[in-house]
Amino acid sequence: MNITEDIIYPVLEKIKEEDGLEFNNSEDLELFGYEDSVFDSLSIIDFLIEIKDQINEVTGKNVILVNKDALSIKDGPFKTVSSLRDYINQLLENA
Amino acid sequence: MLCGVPMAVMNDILGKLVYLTVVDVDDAEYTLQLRKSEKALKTLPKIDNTVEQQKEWIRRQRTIPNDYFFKIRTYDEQDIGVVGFYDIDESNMIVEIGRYIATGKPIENTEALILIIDTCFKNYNIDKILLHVFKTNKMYKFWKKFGAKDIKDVDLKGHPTTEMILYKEDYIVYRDKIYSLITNN
Repeated sequence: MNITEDIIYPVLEKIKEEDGLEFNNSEDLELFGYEDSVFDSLSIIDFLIEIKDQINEVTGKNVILVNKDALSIKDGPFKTVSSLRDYINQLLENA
Repeated sequence: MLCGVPMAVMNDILGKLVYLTVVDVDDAEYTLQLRKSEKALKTLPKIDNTVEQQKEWIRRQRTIPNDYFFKIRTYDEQDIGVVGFYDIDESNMIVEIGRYIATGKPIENTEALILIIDTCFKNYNIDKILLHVFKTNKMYKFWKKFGAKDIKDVDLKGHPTTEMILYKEDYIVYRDKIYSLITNN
Protein backbone atom coordinates (compact mmCIF):
# COMPACT_ATOMS: atom_id res chain seq x y z
CA MET A 1 0.00 0.00 0.00
CA ASN A 2 1.17 3.49 -0.84
CA ILE A 3 -0.22 5.98 1.70
CA THR A 4 0.03 8.99 -0.58
CA GLU A 5 -1.49 7.31 -3.64
CA ASP A 6 -4.06 5.14 -1.88
CA ILE A 7 -5.18 7.34 0.99
CA ILE A 8 -4.28 11.02 0.63
CA TYR A 9 -4.62 11.66 -3.10
CA PRO A 10 -8.04 9.99 -3.48
CA VAL A 11 -9.39 12.20 -0.67
CA LEU A 12 -7.89 15.32 -2.22
CA GLU A 13 -9.41 14.38 -5.58
CA LYS A 14 -12.82 13.90 -3.96
CA ILE A 15 -12.63 17.27 -2.21
CA LYS A 16 -11.45 18.98 -5.40
CA GLU A 17 -14.49 17.67 -7.19
CA GLU A 18 -17.01 18.33 -4.42
CA ASP A 19 -15.80 21.80 -3.46
CA GLY A 20 -14.58 22.98 -6.85
CA LEU A 21 -11.03 23.55 -5.61
CA GLU A 22 -8.05 23.78 -7.94
CA PHE A 23 -4.61 22.53 -6.96
CA ASN A 24 -2.09 19.97 -8.15
CA ASN A 25 -1.41 16.94 -6.00
CA SER A 26 2.19 16.69 -4.88
CA GLU A 27 4.22 15.66 -1.85
CA ASP A 28 4.93 19.34 -1.12
CA LEU A 29 1.32 20.49 -1.40
CA GLU A 30 0.62 22.80 1.55
CA LEU A 31 -2.48 21.45 3.22
CA PHE A 32 -2.79 23.54 6.36
CA GLY A 33 -1.08 26.32 8.29
CA TYR A 34 0.31 28.34 5.37
CA GLU A 35 -1.13 31.49 3.89
CA ASP A 36 -2.26 29.73 0.72
CA SER A 37 -2.96 26.33 2.20
CA VAL A 38 -5.63 24.15 0.64
CA PHE A 39 -7.55 24.03 3.95
CA ASP A 40 -8.41 26.62 6.58
CA SER A 41 -9.27 26.07 10.23
CA LEU A 42 -12.80 24.95 9.33
CA SER A 43 -12.32 22.92 6.17
CA ILE A 44 -9.39 20.98 7.68
CA ILE A 45 -11.90 19.17 9.91
CA ASP A 46 -13.83 17.78 6.96
CA PHE A 47 -10.60 16.79 5.24
CA LEU A 48 -9.47 14.86 8.32
CA ILE A 49 -12.82 13.08 8.55
CA GLU A 50 -12.41 11.97 4.94
CA ILE A 51 -8.81 10.87 5.56
CA LYS A 52 -9.88 8.81 8.56
CA ASP A 53 -12.62 7.11 6.53
CA GLN A 54 -10.17 6.39 3.71
CA ILE A 55 -7.61 4.89 6.11
CA ASN A 56 -10.33 2.61 7.44
CA GLU A 57 -11.47 1.64 3.95
CA VAL A 58 -8.00 0.89 2.65
CA THR A 59 -6.44 -0.74 5.72
CA GLY A 60 -9.40 -1.84 7.82
CA LYS A 61 -7.80 0.00 10.75
CA ASN A 62 -9.57 2.55 12.95
CA VAL A 63 -7.03 5.16 13.99
CA ILE A 64 -7.42 8.21 16.22
CA LEU A 65 -6.22 10.87 13.82
CA VAL A 66 -6.19 13.89 16.14
CA ASN A 67 -4.60 13.07 19.48
CA LYS A 68 -3.10 15.51 21.93
CA ASP A 69 0.32 15.38 20.23
CA ALA A 70 -1.18 16.20 16.84
CA LEU A 71 -3.27 19.08 18.10
CA SER A 72 -0.81 21.78 17.14
CA ILE A 73 -2.01 21.50 13.62
CA LYS A 74 -0.10 24.53 12.36
CA ASP A 75 3.20 23.03 13.43
CA GLY A 76 2.01 19.48 13.31
CA PRO A 77 1.55 16.64 10.88
CA PHE A 78 -1.11 18.20 8.68
CA LYS A 79 1.07 20.84 7.03
CA THR A 80 1.88 19.05 3.81
CA VAL A 81 1.08 15.84 1.99
CA SER A 82 4.46 14.39 2.93
CA SER A 83 4.12 15.24 6.64
CA LEU A 84 0.63 13.75 6.67
CA ARG A 85 1.93 10.63 4.90
CA ASP A 86 4.62 10.17 7.56
CA TYR A 87 2.09 10.71 10.33
CA ILE A 88 -0.37 8.18 8.91
CA ASN A 89 2.46 5.71 8.49
CA GLN A 90 3.38 6.15 12.14
CA LEU A 91 -0.25 5.73 13.25
CA LEU A 92 -0.66 2.56 11.22
CA GLU A 93 2.56 1.08 12.59
CA ASN A 94 1.24 1.59 16.11
CA ALA A 95 -2.35 0.55 15.38
CA MET B 1 -34.02 18.99 32.21
CA LEU B 2 -32.26 22.33 32.50
CA CYS B 3 -35.27 24.38 31.44
CA GLY B 4 -35.60 27.38 33.72
CA VAL B 5 -32.32 26.80 35.54
CA PRO B 6 -30.63 30.17 36.15
CA MET B 7 -27.44 30.39 34.14
CA ALA B 8 -25.33 31.11 37.20
CA VAL B 9 -25.89 27.61 38.57
CA MET B 10 -25.28 25.66 35.39
CA ASN B 11 -22.41 23.20 35.71
CA ASP B 12 -19.44 23.22 33.40
CA ILE B 13 -19.99 21.22 30.22
CA LEU B 14 -17.08 18.85 29.82
CA GLY B 15 -15.63 17.63 26.55
CA LYS B 16 -12.56 15.63 25.70
CA LEU B 17 -10.39 18.58 24.70
CA VAL B 18 -12.27 21.62 25.98
CA TYR B 19 -14.99 22.54 28.44
CA LEU B 20 -17.60 25.27 28.59
CA THR B 21 -18.06 27.38 31.69
CA VAL B 22 -20.62 30.12 32.22
CA VAL B 23 -19.43 33.67 31.60
CA ASP B 24 -19.22 35.78 34.75
CA VAL B 25 -18.97 39.56 35.17
CA ASP B 26 -15.23 39.08 35.76
CA ASP B 27 -15.01 37.92 32.15
CA ALA B 28 -16.23 41.27 30.81
CA GLU B 29 -12.83 42.45 29.61
CA TYR B 30 -11.95 39.16 27.93
CA THR B 31 -15.32 38.75 26.24
CA LEU B 32 -15.36 42.37 25.09
CA GLN B 33 -11.86 42.14 23.65
CA LEU B 34 -12.89 38.99 21.83
CA ARG B 35 -16.16 40.54 20.65
CA LYS B 36 -14.33 43.53 19.17
CA SER B 37 -11.65 41.42 17.50
CA GLU B 38 -11.25 41.23 13.75
CA LYS B 39 -12.23 37.57 13.89
CA ALA B 40 -15.54 38.39 15.59
CA LEU B 41 -16.44 41.04 13.03
CA LYS B 42 -16.54 38.32 10.39
CA THR B 43 -19.34 36.55 12.22
CA LEU B 44 -21.14 39.07 14.45
CA PRO B 45 -22.37 42.67 14.14
CA LYS B 46 -20.02 45.38 15.46
CA ILE B 47 -20.52 46.65 19.02
CA ASP B 48 -19.07 49.70 20.77
CA ASN B 49 -19.48 48.65 24.41
CA THR B 50 -17.12 49.83 27.13
CA VAL B 51 -15.95 47.34 29.74
CA GLU B 52 -18.54 48.74 32.16
CA GLN B 53 -21.28 48.32 29.57
CA GLN B 54 -20.10 44.78 28.91
CA LYS B 55 -20.26 44.04 32.64
CA GLU B 56 -23.81 45.34 32.71
CA TRP B 57 -24.71 43.28 29.63
CA ILE B 58 -23.37 40.15 31.32
CA ARG B 59 -25.21 40.93 34.57
CA ARG B 60 -28.46 41.29 32.63
CA GLN B 61 -27.81 38.29 30.42
CA ARG B 62 -27.28 36.07 33.47
CA THR B 63 -30.78 36.85 34.71
CA ILE B 64 -32.55 35.97 31.46
CA PRO B 65 -34.19 32.53 31.76
CA ASN B 66 -32.86 29.99 29.29
CA ASP B 67 -30.17 32.30 27.94
CA TYR B 68 -26.72 30.74 28.30
CA PHE B 69 -23.36 32.26 27.49
CA PHE B 70 -20.16 30.25 27.97
CA LYS B 71 -16.42 30.66 27.78
CA ILE B 72 -14.62 27.92 25.89
CA ARG B 73 -11.62 26.73 27.90
CA THR B 74 -8.90 24.16 27.43
CA TYR B 75 -7.98 21.88 30.31
CA ASP B 76 -4.77 23.84 30.83
CA GLU B 77 -7.06 26.79 31.61
CA GLN B 78 -6.64 28.81 28.43
CA ASP B 79 -9.66 30.83 27.32
CA ILE B 80 -10.17 30.13 23.63
CA GLY B 81 -13.53 31.72 22.89
CA VAL B 82 -17.20 32.04 23.68
CA VAL B 83 -20.46 30.48 22.55
CA GLY B 84 -24.07 30.62 23.68
CA PHE B 85 -27.60 29.39 23.22
CA TYR B 86 -30.83 31.28 23.81
CA ASP B 87 -34.44 31.80 22.72
CA ILE B 88 -35.41 28.26 23.63
CA ASP B 89 -38.84 27.55 22.22
CA GLU B 90 -39.95 24.10 23.29
CA SER B 91 -43.40 24.51 21.74
CA ASN B 92 -41.71 24.71 18.34
CA MET B 93 -38.84 22.46 19.52
CA ILE B 94 -36.14 24.95 18.51
CA VAL B 95 -33.26 26.89 20.11
CA GLU B 96 -30.82 29.40 18.64
CA ILE B 97 -27.05 28.95 18.92
CA GLY B 98 -24.75 31.91 18.43
CA ARG B 99 -22.28 34.38 19.96
CA TYR B 100 -19.64 31.95 18.70
CA ILE B 101 -16.08 33.22 18.53
CA ALA B 102 -13.32 30.64 18.77
CA THR B 103 -9.57 31.16 18.69
CA GLY B 104 -8.35 27.69 19.60
CA LYS B 105 -7.11 24.87 17.44
CA PRO B 106 -9.61 23.68 14.81
CA ILE B 107 -10.61 20.51 16.61
CA GLU B 108 -11.01 22.38 19.91
CA ASN B 109 -13.21 25.02 18.30
CA THR B 110 -15.29 22.32 16.69
CA GLU B 111 -15.67 20.33 19.91
CA ALA B 112 -17.00 23.47 21.62
CA LEU B 113 -19.80 23.60 19.05
CA ILE B 114 -20.55 19.93 19.55
CA LEU B 115 -20.71 20.40 23.31
CA ILE B 116 -23.21 23.20 23.08
CA ILE B 117 -25.40 21.50 20.47
CA ASP B 118 -25.37 18.25 22.46
CA THR B 119 -26.35 20.18 25.58
CA CYS B 120 -29.34 21.67 23.80
CA PHE B 121 -30.56 18.36 22.37
CA LYS B 122 -29.94 16.47 25.60
CA ASN B 123 -31.58 18.88 28.00
CA TYR B 124 -34.49 20.40 26.12
CA ASN B 125 -37.42 19.08 24.21
CA ILE B 126 -36.13 20.34 20.88
CA ASP B 127 -35.19 18.72 17.60
CA LYS B 128 -33.61 21.59 15.69
CA ILE B 129 -31.14 24.44 16.03
CA LEU B 130 -31.62 27.91 14.55
CA LEU B 131 -28.53 29.63 13.14
CA HIS B 132 -27.90 33.05 11.65
CA VAL B 133 -24.75 33.08 9.51
CA PHE B 134 -23.28 36.03 7.60
CA LYS B 135 -23.22 35.23 3.90
CA THR B 136 -19.53 36.15 3.77
CA ASN B 137 -18.64 33.89 6.69
CA LYS B 138 -16.78 30.62 6.14
CA MET B 139 -18.96 29.14 8.89
CA TYR B 140 -21.76 28.93 6.33
CA LYS B 141 -20.01 26.12 4.49
CA PHE B 142 -19.05 24.50 7.77
CA TRP B 143 -22.66 24.42 8.98
CA LYS B 144 -23.66 22.95 5.63
CA LYS B 145 -21.26 20.07 6.29
CA PHE B 146 -23.02 19.58 9.60
CA GLY B 147 -26.24 19.23 7.63
CA ALA B 148 -27.79 22.65 8.24
CA LYS B 149 -30.33 23.80 5.68
CA ASP B 150 -30.98 27.31 4.36
CA ILE B 151 -34.31 28.77 5.42
CA LYS B 152 -34.26 32.36 4.21
CA ASP B 153 -32.12 35.44 3.71
CA VAL B 154 -32.38 38.11 6.39
CA ASP B 155 -30.65 41.38 7.24
CA LEU B 156 -28.80 41.35 10.57
CA LYS B 157 -27.88 44.92 11.47
CA GLY B 158 -26.86 45.66 7.90
CA HIS B 159 -25.21 42.31 7.21
CA PRO B 160 -26.69 40.00 4.55
CA THR B 161 -27.32 36.85 6.56
CA THR B 162 -28.66 33.35 5.97
CA GLU B 163 -31.07 31.85 8.46
CA MET B 164 -30.37 28.14 8.72
CA ILE B 165 -31.87 25.16 10.55
CA LEU B 166 -29.91 22.16 11.77
CA TYR B 167 -32.09 19.12 12.43
CA LYS B 168 -31.03 16.65 15.10
CA GLU B 169 -31.02 13.63 12.79
CA ASP B 170 -28.72 15.38 10.29
CA TYR B 171 -26.42 16.68 13.02
CA ILE B 172 -25.83 13.32 14.70
CA VAL B 173 -24.20 11.84 11.59
CA TYR B 174 -21.53 14.52 11.23
CA ARG B 175 -21.09 14.89 14.99
CA ASP B 176 -20.11 11.25 15.31
CA LYS B 177 -17.64 11.61 12.46
CA ILE B 178 -15.96 14.55 14.17
CA TYR B 179 -15.72 12.72 17.47
CA SER B 180 -14.25 9.73 15.67
CA LEU B 181 -11.21 11.92 14.94
CA ILE B 182 -10.39 12.15 18.63
CA THR B 183 -11.87 9.02 20.17
CA ASN B 184 -12.70 5.45 19.32
CA ASN B 185 -15.98 5.69 21.24
